Amino acid sequence: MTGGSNLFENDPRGYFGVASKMFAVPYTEIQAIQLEALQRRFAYLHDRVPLLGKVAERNKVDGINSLADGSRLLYPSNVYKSYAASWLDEGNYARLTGWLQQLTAHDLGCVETTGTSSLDEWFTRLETVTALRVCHSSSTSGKLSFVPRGVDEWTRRAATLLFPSEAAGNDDGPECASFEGLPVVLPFYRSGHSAAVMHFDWFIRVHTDPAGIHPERVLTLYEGTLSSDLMVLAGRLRSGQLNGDPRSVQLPSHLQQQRDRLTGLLEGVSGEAMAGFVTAAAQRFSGRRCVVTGVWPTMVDAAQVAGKLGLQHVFATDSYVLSGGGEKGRSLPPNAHELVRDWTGVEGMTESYGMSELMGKNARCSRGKFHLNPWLIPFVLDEDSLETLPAHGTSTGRFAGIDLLASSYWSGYISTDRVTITWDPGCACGRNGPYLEHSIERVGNVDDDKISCAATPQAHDDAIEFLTSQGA
Amino acid sequence: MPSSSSRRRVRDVAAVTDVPFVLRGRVLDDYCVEHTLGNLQFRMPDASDHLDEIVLHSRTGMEDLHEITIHDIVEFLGDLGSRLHLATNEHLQHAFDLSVLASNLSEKVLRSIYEDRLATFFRSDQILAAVERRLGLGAIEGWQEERTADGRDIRVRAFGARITHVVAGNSPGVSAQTIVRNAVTRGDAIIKTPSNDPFTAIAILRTMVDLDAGHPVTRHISAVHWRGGDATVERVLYSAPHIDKIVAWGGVAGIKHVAQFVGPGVELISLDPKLSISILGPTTLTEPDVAAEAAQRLAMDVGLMNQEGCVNARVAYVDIEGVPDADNAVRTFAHEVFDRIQCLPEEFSTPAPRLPAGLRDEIDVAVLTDIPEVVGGGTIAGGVLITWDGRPVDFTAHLYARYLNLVPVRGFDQVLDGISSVNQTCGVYPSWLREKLRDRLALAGVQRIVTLGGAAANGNNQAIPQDGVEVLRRMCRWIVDEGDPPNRSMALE
Repeated sequence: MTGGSNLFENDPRGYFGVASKMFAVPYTEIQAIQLEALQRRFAYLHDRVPLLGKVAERNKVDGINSLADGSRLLYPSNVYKSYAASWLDEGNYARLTGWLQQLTAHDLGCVETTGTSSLDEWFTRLETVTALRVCHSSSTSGKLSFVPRGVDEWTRRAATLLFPSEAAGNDDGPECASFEGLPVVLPFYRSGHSAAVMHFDWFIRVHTDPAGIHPERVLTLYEGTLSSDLMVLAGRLRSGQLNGDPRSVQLPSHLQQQRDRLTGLLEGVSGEAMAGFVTAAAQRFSGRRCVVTGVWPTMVDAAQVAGKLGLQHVFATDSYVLSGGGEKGRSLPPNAHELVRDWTGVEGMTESYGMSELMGKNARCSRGKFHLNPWLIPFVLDEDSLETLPAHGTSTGRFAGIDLLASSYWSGYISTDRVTITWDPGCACGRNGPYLEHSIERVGNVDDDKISCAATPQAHDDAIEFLTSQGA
Repeated sequence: MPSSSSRRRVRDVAAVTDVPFVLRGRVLDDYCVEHTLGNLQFRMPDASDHLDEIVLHSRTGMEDLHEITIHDIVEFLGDLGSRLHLATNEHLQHAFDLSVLASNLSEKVLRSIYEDRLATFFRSDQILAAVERRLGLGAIEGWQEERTADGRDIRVRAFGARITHVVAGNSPGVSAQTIVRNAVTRGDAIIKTPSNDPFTAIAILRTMVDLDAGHPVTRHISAVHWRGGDATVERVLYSAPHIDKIVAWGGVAGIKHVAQFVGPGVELISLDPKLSISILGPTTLTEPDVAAEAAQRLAMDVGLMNQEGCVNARVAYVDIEGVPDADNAVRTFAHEVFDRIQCLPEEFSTPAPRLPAGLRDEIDVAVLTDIPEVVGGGTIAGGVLITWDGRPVDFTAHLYARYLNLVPVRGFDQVLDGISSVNQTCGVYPSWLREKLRDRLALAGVQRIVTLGGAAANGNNQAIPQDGVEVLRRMCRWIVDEGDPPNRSMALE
């Protein structure tokens, strides 16, 4: 399913080639091709995605004449979790499917939900009869967000993951990166539907083992699937905290083992499983060029365990170390980067900024700035009025964007991130286009020093906290 | 975070307002820490520089408080109250000017509180009634004689305690109530002013200093501010042997934080964050007169004080069992509630200046998806959100700015199953239903059951228990004096 024939939005890798060329294009030219692509996406999706039609009608947008028109077609930040949590509790997957249909151009009329008893099963049923490959957030606000991404989009997205590892502007690096056929060392789950697991899975499908005949190229901490139902239970625990006793929520026995594993990942994995993992990585891939990737805290856990086992400088020095995602509420050692460097033997690590709802990794340059990929039309909004701030100079506000890679769903989205963006002048690293400062924080964070006798939203994910504090 | 209170040593002192601390009858004006709250900047002293003066090192220092009568104290509070009117009190004027920039309450609502309502907390008759009913005059005034069932002759007296109060800032009344509670329990209070109301307690205490800086009540209360989590300050002001108790108002993170300091020698009186509800019986939707009155009463429970209080209703369950064309009836009722909210007097309720970001996101998407159904257009005027699946919205903790979640249900059994101790006040209508349900509501966790319309409108709540707790009693130290029992066996001899 595509929204047009233009290579720019359907295959940025094919369109630009490498990062140095992509970031050499003057931004005015980028904006011109963004506008054309936006017009194509809107024209295709307007009548196919019901919720886009409603946004357009509400904001009186019947066509795209400028990028600014796009700023009137942004979904609120919670659009992907605008279902009722009770549908999951009650197993009302027909209703959930109906809700999802509002967000996607994929026809879900053929999805059979009768007898569906779990979220994991619902995903399977969706994937059996459609090209949808839904991912979800990791329950950071107590409720999963479902992003209706399809096979085309995941494939397209995975291809763009090379850009952040390449030279651009004045920054050094390989001119043309390739992950083709390289072994993947991943201290995480092999499969599942959380956005992070889906990212790794499609990375492997596109770069590592497209034909699915080389499972030996992939080493993961856990071979199994990270259950999405477990994440939902995490959300229920949070609401339990607000509405009653969270400890009255009992985990089904088949999720106990999963819970313990997730607890390990959240609190730190240092036991037998991780020792086995880093040992196997050294035995199978020592001295070889690899892609070492994972969420950052678990990468650090792996590095710490490897260090204790004397497993240092394990991989070829021109391997790729790809990570990100912050500390996820953990307090990591101050020398975390050095630990990972000593384990992998790789000097540089590719860092980037991204989110589940907008595709692509926006690379961090040598000056510490995040450079926005050209298929993302960025907006920065006033936090109070949500009016778009002018696209010049430097401004701070709420980040929003339209992701032109999305062809089966409307991707206009207001994030919950407060960013400082500089449109001009350009970054000293030599890349063209707008960039974000490294300090990115969440808007509307609850100020814990403001005290009310009435219940207020939680700043942090108590679900995870409670999940991890529950005894086995 | 730009939106939060932060502290830093002052470099440029030209453009900021000064707000002092009040320590035991002394106004402390060594302004050296700058705080920002939204667009507001103000300077205050540094609490960590004055820890030695803030704490009362020995409980025997409270002797002066126990030598005056409760009537002296109540009279002093009454005199204080008579001075707490915005038109004539420069300290309140200063606090009001700043609070307008910091409070979640709209200017009109805040003004009406500062003009007259703050003073009502200090009315002598109400305070005395609260003391009589909640504490009993005998034990608060001296040694109250009792004879136990086994014939022992004992005396019980309520002594004051050294208490750090971490107060809520969603209404200025909380500061006023804290000052009164401390005085009548003969306590020694350290009030940590909240960043959403850093000024009210200071203004009241400055007025108290003007009235009589040497009065024992004045000399046993302080109001200071520090950024929550400041370990240097909290190691002292939350810990034994410097204090005896902590009264901590809501905020899950805040309560958890304070609880870390609780150990032998320090007792925590926790006033948790609450979410109040309403229950409307089956006649609400079938009899137009009942519906009209219920809508007005519900509007009051939702909208008074701009829904900033824990007493305000956020979720209302309405019984549709046997209601013909129930969907339409619910919608009609929701519109009526919305209309009644719009008609509340502006000194008690106004549209919010802006919706909180989290609520706005929820409303914006609900308008698109109709989940929940939005009545009222989803604006700053407030609204009614109807959920048709018998359950509240997933974002009840975001319901502010006069947004109510209306939940049609068939009978109340499932509602009662979902109630917990987080549900403080429950407004019930009609009144007969309140009497029928009150025992079950209480057992389920509700702490205050009122006839609908009274949640926020029944006056200040000084003389009733709060959150299921006899706060005044728990603020005291209950000491027993006993001599020899009449027929004790002298087995030890």
